[in-house]
Amino acid sequence: MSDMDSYRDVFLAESADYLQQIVDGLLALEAAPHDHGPVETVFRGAHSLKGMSAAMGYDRAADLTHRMEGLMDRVRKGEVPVSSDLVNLMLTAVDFAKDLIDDEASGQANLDAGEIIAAIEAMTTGAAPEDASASGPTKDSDGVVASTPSDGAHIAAPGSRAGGSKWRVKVTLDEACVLKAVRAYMVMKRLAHMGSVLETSPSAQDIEDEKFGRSFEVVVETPSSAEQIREAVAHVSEVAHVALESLAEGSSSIDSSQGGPTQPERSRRRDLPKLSQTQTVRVAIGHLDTLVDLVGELVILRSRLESIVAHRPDPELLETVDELQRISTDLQYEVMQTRMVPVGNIFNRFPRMVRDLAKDLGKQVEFRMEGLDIELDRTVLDEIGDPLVHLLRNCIDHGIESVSERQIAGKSAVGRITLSASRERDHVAIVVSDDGRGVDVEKVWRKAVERGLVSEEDRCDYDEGDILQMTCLPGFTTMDSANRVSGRGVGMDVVKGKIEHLGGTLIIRSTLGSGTDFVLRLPLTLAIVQALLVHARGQQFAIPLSSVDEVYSVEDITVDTVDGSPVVILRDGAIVPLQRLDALLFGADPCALPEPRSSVVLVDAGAEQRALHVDGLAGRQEIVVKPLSRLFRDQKGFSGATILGDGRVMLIFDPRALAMTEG
Amino acid sequence: MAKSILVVDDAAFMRMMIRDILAKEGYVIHEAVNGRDAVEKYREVAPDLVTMDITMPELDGISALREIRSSAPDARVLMVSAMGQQKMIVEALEAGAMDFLVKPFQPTKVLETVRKCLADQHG
Repeated sequence: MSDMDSYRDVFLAESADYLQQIVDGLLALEAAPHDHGPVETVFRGAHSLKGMSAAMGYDRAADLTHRMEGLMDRVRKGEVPVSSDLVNLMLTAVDFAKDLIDDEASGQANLDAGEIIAAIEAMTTGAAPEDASASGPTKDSDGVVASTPSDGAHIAAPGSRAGGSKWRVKVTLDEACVLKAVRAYMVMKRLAHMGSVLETSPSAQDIEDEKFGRSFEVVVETPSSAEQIREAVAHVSEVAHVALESLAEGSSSIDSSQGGPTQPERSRRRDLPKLSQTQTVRVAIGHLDTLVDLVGELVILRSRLESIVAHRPDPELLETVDELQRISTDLQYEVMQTRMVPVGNIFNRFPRMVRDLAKDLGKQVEFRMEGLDIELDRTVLDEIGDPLVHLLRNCIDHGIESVSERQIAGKSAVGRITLSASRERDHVAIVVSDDGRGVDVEKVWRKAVERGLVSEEDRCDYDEGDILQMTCLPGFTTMDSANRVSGRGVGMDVVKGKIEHLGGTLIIRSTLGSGTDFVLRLPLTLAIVQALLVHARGQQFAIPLSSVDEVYSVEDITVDTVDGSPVVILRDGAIVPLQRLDALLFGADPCALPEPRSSVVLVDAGAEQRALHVDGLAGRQEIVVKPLSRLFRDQKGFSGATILGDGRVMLIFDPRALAMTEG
Repeated sequence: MAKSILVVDDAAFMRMMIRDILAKEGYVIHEAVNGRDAVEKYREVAPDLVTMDITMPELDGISALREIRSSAPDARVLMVSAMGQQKMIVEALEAGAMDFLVKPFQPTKVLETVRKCLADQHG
């Protein structure tokens, strides 16, 4: 069915939500085995997945999730106990279900769920004390699903009542009918409504147990006419055929081949449907990206218009442009809002990872997450998943001590790791913290000396924070041997690089013996940023304002040389290396001293501050960041490009290039 | 006037499928994401028919059916269930549901059943 293809994306997106819901439920269940809430959550998740998979025709996924639902059904009825075996089995099953769905969605048939299904069935039935008879009363252990009504015979047993004439009604159901017993029940109910049901064939119990083929017979005594009986029965869905036989003296047989009102009464209504009243819609990410691009173009056009208007003092024009400015700013804000995604979307996979890893390493960890509803631009969020995984692994592996070690140190046996997000003006702070052993600053220092990164005699130039930052230098690790969890020294430098690439910062705080915090500060969005425009050799470049600390004119600062390299001396006495933009980009003499009336921009070049000499400043502007095409991507020093109002393309200078070119 | 139908399912995917099938035929579609929501939406829009999923968070379909019918005895409710929910369907029928659909379903079957429910004089 090609129809289904259009549903597939929605299916995949939503099934991922349900898979996650099951995982979350299982983890909650593991933490609180007597809690009913999570059992229901897992049950419902499996149930919904089953229905959705079946609707897509993904039979293998439907089968597996059906078994998962069945097992959880027994759990919620108290027939299968909650155990770590159960949680583990279900987690494995979820993973498999995910793979199975991917497999089926890509039109393949590589996976066979036989093994996992067998394991689920073993647990489902193994724990069953007796053969759970299908008609037994449902234990209403949780109050969410009400108990079944009138246990036992739902189908009225034959009895006798009002007079009238007797009819034998032979009902044949659709071949495709799935719940025959229920259809039969509906037929009986209708007949019982008209008179009294005297006899059935097969017996009421057999009908209820679905022990019949496609048809069954009912003898009914009713004052209603044959036509009325036929109509009433045929009205039940999935009834293919109704035959009536009068049991009165002159037995007549009335046949009716009416398959229910299947007659295509497709009177296509001309009146158009109103739009459905939904509060949310799912939109393909591609559309949002296009929307952001278009808004970007609009912002560019707006600044172009502004620069035109600047030369034409027409009040009406000015007013219109002002209005345009306001509206486009609102539009830009709204469009950016649509791209904001709660951090919970990527955080939600961490509890499982932390649990598995802690288990692997034999550590006890309590993991908490806070601020899940804090929102970040999707592009930023997509990028921080891996760095966060790395930091969390670091915490579990290096931070949290073994149980015995913690007890000796007088700490609780269970280590605590917290992942929290909070909003700070135009930034989001994400903090990963543990209450583990902390970082031994002296050890880091010795390592740094050994690696030749610093020299012993400079010890007093570095405070603790500086030394902690050294763990982020390439190739640095305090672990004596690499282990499989946190890799081998590739790690913190990569994490830091990634965060800074996003225009964010990473700060490490640590107290020996009581824990470590990794503080990530991230911009809300990457697509449109405030930038400082600067000149070098007649060309303009943009520097993201987020990495600009201060701007000086050359006349206001002191320039000196240290070992032949120029430096600036700030008012507070700090000495900052001075680099020339024209030297970096055009090969000018790097040691040339600043010309009069040129400017110096104090920038954050990643780990340290640098002074950047530029020929002049050209103001501050909102710019739309466009990634560089593949051809230029390796070009060091630029993080992207932007288009100005007058149509010129301008490169965005990446201040981190300053730290890289050292030496 | 076009008949209105309240589609109740916690899975957006299922809602979308049902909505697509019905909207093509000119029905006006409203949606509710769980039983609690269904009870409120029913009060708000008084639809001609409700398609009601059974297993949902907050309030399950059968309880929602009962609540709806206790304040609106004429409410037409069509249950949407999965395989293996016989008992619950019977329970729903006892509580006044008109008919049921079993997932997965064919569009023609959905339309047929919906038409039938809307045509039926309730009772």
